[in-house]
Amino acid sequence: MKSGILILALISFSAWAQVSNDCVPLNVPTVDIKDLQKLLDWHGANAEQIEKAPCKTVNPPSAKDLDDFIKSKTAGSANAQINGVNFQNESPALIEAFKNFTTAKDGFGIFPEPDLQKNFQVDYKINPECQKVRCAMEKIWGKGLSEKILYLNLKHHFNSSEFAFQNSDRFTEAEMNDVLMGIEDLPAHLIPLGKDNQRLTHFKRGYTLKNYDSNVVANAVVMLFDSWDTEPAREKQYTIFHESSHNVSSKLGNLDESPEWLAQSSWVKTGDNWTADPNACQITEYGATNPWEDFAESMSTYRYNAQAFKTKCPKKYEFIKTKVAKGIEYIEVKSCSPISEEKLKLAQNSILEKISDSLHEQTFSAQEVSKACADSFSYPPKDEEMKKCSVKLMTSGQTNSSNRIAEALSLAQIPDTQANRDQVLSGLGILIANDEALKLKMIEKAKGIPEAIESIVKTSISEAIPKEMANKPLDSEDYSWRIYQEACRAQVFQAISKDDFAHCHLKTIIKKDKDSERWNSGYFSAYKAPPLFKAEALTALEAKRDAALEDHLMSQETTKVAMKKVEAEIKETLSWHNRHESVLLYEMKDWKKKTPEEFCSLTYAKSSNMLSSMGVKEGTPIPSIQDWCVKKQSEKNRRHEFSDEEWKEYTESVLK
Amino acid sequence: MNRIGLIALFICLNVFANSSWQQEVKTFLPKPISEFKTRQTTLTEVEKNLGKAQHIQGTRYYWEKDGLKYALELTFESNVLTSLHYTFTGKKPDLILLQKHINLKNFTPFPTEGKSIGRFLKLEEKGSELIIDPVSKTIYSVRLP
Repeated sequence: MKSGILILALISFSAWAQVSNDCVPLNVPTVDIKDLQKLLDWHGANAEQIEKAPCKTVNPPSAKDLDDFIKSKTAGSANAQINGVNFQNESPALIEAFKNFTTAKDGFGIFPEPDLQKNFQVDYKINPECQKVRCAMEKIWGKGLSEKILYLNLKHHFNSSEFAFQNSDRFTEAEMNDVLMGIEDLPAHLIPLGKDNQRLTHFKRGYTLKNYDSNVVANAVVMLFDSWDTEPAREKQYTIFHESSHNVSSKLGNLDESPEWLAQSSWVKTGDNWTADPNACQITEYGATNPWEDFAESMSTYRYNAQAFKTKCPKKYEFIKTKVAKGIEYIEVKSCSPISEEKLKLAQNSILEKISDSLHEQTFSAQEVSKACADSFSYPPKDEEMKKCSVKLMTSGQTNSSNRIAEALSLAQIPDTQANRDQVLSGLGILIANDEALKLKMIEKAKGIPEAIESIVKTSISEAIPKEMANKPLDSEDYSWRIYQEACRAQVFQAISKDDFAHCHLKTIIKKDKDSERWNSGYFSAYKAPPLFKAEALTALEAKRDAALEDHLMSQETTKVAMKKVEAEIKETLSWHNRHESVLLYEMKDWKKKTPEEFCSLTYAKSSNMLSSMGVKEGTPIPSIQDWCVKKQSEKNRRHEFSDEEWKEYTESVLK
Repeated sequence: MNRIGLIALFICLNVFANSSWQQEVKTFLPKPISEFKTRQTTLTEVEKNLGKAQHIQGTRYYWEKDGLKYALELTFESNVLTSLHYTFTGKKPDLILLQKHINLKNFTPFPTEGKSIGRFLKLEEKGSELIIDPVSKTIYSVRLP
């Protein structure tokens, strides 16, 4: 590698200096020539290999590319004032981007730095001439650079504004080209990569971070240092790719510390130190330092020196291929080239035609119906839901055919990789949505779905509930059944287990109790008067469970398991104190068998507590209450519902 | 406010001012690790909770967590815990939780071995160590004496 001296220093990663006294002036780098050979192996590809890597991005996006992309992201309209600048009728996405570019934060973009905040209207006199973000940015950065900064942000979610992060300097347009070309060497499915308006800036020129030596080229924050400036273009891009790879790991859930990745080299961490199995296959010397660099170097070598990587470390190569690259390989152009519009259309149309031709013979399983319709149905299904479900069902049924996709890819001469399959299928949804004729055909075909759903529901519940429930038609008006439908429908679609079903079923019973008019306005509401029927939650639950078991003939064993879940849930989530009426129903469910005297005796016992709460001393004789209650009950020949007023009136009369 | 009130207020303010990132970060540790106390907890007590160490190097004992060998390092002297090092696994605590307690100016790059200057930042203070991931803006690992 001609410039291996600098490449070796790429060394990546973070470190921070908040203020200029933490930055240190650079010394001229010196590298011992005898270390040169060692340096050559520090990274996974040399300049020539990078240059020749298949599907390498060789040009930055053109002015038209930039314009087209930015316009595609600028829907909507809003007014705003951002850091002194007014915008009128501007896209909210662009306003947000401008805010990110011009709001000063610390070096990581974590905490605001109000002392560094600029007023851009004062500094750049943007209004009134400019009322739009692109115009304002042009005044600040110039036409070419401003468009690239905006594109990098909108497409890749990186922020390269020198105003946004402490100790940053402005990129030149040529440097920005290398940044874009490095980033766009990533597989398309990993874009956008930046996280939360992430930094990707040039560090303050002439300085580096304390603890860094002058060879450090970049870090994963991402900061680029002066040494990066002196690299040839392709190596600059390698650096960007390497640092991006750390972010790829982050995007994929810290893949570089996943047990599967650590197992590749038997990485072990003791305290702060990492050690690998000395016999593990390491693709570069730098990668051997820790699993994070191992991952970033593997990614970079996979991208720029694939054949060597595959030959030397086939297991690691396979890991990157399947876990990161979705099957895209960079060994030859045909295995990595982006799909042209023409090829994409050819493959998609081929699939559409086959879908259309074979709809008449399509059948669908209960599982497919459940998967396609579970989220889009209310009961009974509405027309719109029916259409949505039909199209989804037909499409998923058809496109899940691996052979069909393979045939379409082959016809269009597209390499059969997961990434390419994803791309073809994701575009297919839009095509189907716009193809009214095909949609109608699918809906027509899917007319049997309701029957299929009914069959699924019945199969699912037949093992879990009594036959008389299972045999009810889906449109039954039966109250219990409807409540059950509402509560358990989604679970039924997913073919729930017997225990889960019982859990759901008991929940419906509780819901039914709570909602029942019978409970809330009928005979037992006599007991609502005294606010003292607040049975302890668990006692009430016991009663409730017994009643539920009696009433619904649930399988004892299944119910016990389910009730345990319900009890735990109810303890956490339900306020039983507010539902005492419902609870009392169970305590007094045999009220009809009681005489007015017995009934009032119970009422009296409870109401005396209420009187106590009203200030009546314990032991105060209130002899007439029983008589009064019995009289009232007998007069009306029913269980009189005592109102709050009546209780109060009576109590006061007794006290007098 | 009487004198006693002033003294109480002073004590409260003093306690508040002394609230440190070490105390804060300890609350993010999973149980039972958060309950271990240096200079109090014994190896026997730890083993009761975590089982035998999976790896031992001198006075350092290591346990795996969530597939990470070894997320937990405990140092014992005379059978008593003297230092705890934990690498957060899975979802890591957000750095913003320590905003009031840390100053990014005091952090240095990590790791530092060889030519690598690391992708993390380290804060060392009175025998404690905090490592943060500036990319995900999360707390990566902690060492508490």
